[in-house]
Amino acid sequence: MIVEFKNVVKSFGDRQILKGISFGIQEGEIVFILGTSGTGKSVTLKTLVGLLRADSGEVWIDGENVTHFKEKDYLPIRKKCGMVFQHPALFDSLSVYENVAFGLRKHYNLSEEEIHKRVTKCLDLVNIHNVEDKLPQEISYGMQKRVSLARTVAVDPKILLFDEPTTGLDPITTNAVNQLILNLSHTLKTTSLVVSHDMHCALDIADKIIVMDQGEIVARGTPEEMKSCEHPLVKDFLKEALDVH
Amino acid sequence: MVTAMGTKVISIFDAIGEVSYLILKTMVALFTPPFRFKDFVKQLNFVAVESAPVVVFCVSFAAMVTIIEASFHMKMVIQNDAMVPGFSSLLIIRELGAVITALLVTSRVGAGLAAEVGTMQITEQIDALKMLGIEKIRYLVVPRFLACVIAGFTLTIIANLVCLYCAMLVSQFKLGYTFGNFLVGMRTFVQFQDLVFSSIKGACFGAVIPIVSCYYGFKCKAGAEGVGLATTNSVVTSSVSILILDFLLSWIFSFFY
Repeated sequence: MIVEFKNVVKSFGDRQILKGISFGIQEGEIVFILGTSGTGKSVTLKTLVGLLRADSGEVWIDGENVTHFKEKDYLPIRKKCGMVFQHPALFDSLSVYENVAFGLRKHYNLSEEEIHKRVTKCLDLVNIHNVEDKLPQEISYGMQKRVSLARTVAVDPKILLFDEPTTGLDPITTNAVNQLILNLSHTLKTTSLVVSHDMHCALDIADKIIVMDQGEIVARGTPEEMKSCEHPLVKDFLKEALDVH
Repeated sequence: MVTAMGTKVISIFDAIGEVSYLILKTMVALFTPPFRFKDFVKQLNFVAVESAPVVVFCVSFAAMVTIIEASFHMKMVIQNDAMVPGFSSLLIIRELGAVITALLVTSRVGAGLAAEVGTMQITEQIDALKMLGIEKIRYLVVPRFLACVIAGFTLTIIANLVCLYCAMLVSQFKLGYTFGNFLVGMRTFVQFQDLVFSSIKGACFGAVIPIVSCYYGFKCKAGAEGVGLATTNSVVTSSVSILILDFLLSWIFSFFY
């Protein structure tokens, strides 16, 4: 297992968000976590990379128990994991180009020419052209999300975490992003953990689907297994996916 | 009610602990590489250079009001305002220049800083920094801290000079004391250490602003209301802290006279 959650509990004040969830992800797998808003999907992602700390239970990444890591110990773990946030989370004071180059400058000893090549390639991947010199606030929200994806992919992470990567995107870009997740998994053996509401995308590209409700995992399995799942929430998601598409 | 009071007390101690931790981490990052020189210069320009016009404009009026009021009250009480140039310059150098400058910088820079860091917090930019292996305190707080300390120091000196000049103008054209009379009066009351202590106060007040603003920025809750609240809390807390620090520093400096 490259990622493993063992009975993880997380609370904010009196409110328990994760109620002892456990799951594992094999290397190269694409796993979707589905669920309604406020069920703890994003908290799960953030707990994985130490942006939030679990109250109890264990989090394992690439064979290491990271549950009680100090902030500085997380650095090599975070280098392995790229995260696309719910918000584009681009740095306002840097241009699109500098945003994508930011991680490369920090982690790799590359020449400007190599950085330029890598940035251009990543922006091509997400179909972004001719806005390299613009500031994030000068481009559309959809473009910002794609630039954010390019920034994450630029540093070649082993594990990619997506927090609602296609929310706010048009259908064509949504398909392009899903295709990109699939390509990265096939070509680079990148492991992807995707938090989403989109059952249709999950059925299309996921190897495994986890459905969460009120801080608990209520269903899990392959897309085929999900199609025959009897849990009411899964049925609702399936109905919505079939209605829309 | 007891529970509510207990919760409040605990939250106050929590906040003190968090601010102390922020100060400690800032101090450590301040003296250990990597240094973010480019960010520091950018912040220094924003805090010191861009604040200078508003500071100069406001303190000059404050100085003019101070000397006019001092003259009015002295004439009323002892029927003579001959000591006004000396007293006014002492008041300007020991209090007015440093405190008014700090409060102006708080409202201009502190509010902006809290809003900027707060927005970064709620739009996950700070999480993105962490994911890219950047320490938020080194990246965001240290350049602003250093810029505010240096700006506090220099703006206080500038404010003192402008205040004295404006007070001299009022003294010359309204009260009938020449520049020479004013300087003689000032020389009688003001000592060199007053200037030094005033500049130290300015630097200390400057240090308060980014620490308080970044603290509230990091604690910012989601939404426009969250950013607004972070900004308001930051300005109020910075202003109150500056006034309390002013009292403490004045008390400490009194042992040197």
